[in-house]
Amino acid sequence: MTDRNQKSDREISADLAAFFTAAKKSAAGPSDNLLAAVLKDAERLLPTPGPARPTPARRFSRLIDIWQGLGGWQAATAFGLFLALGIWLGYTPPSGLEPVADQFSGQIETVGVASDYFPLDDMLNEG
Amino acid sequence: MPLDTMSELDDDALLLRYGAGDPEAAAALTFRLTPRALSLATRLLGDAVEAEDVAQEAMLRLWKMAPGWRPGEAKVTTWLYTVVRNLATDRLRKRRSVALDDIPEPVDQQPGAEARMLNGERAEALNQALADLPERQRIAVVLRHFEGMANPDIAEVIGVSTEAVESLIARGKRNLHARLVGDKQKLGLEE
Repeated sequence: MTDRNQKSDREISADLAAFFTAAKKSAAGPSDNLLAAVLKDAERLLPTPGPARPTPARRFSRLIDIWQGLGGWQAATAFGLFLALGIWLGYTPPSGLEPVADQFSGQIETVGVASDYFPLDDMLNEG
Repeated sequence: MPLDTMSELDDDALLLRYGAGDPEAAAALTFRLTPRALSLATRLLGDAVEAEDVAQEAMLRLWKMAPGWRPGEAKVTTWLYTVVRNLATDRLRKRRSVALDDIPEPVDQQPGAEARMLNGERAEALNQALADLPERQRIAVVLRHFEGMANPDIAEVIGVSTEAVESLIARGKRNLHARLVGDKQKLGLEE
């Protein structure tokens, strides 16, 4: 229950306004000594101007540009999925693929280059 | 760049210039920000000498921080007030043996302003009443009514929500009112 005698925030602000105004007017500014001390600190700590160096943030942004150029995370996700699928199929081919795989097993032949096509001895003799 | 031209630059731009080694930016920032740091420190500490120490230390930290300043991430004044607030709080904690937040709220109907409170002395009475407020109420009222800060910025300085700042200001002013406006005739507020 609200006290009937209790003032509203607006009334309180109105009552205090004269105090705030008076306090603002009476506020003293910084002394010359303080300003001199602050300026002296500023001069002592003043950074030395130098050639601009690439910041880590800028280098990082270049990496981000390259990353985006390659397709970003979407491309990386797709690449990872297909890589995992390929590895999985390589190790455990689905049953439907086994007959196909069997057709190729044992049929890999070694392909060599017949020496007749490139007579090395002749080439060496010719210099 | 001349100092009067520097005065047209905002705090961010000046701090960047100082960070790049511009001495004139240092002067412009000194004249612009030292009074504000001192004003807050004075009202929080109620001691002119200690307030000057705090203001100088806060500005010193500003110079040190300048090379790494990232414009747009925060307001320079908010950063500075936060430093002043922390430095003042440390000094007050050393000064008092009890925790600041444990200080009881002022009780209504305490003896208000005394007869000495004439127009020119209202400021002193207000400063005294401010010094008696719980720390966070005092900071919120000072930043709002003396430094003219917006509630979200005050919230950042104090480390509370904007709603909490509104509550702190309202309670702070109510406590000030209880202390100062006990006798309106003495204060010359009654027509």
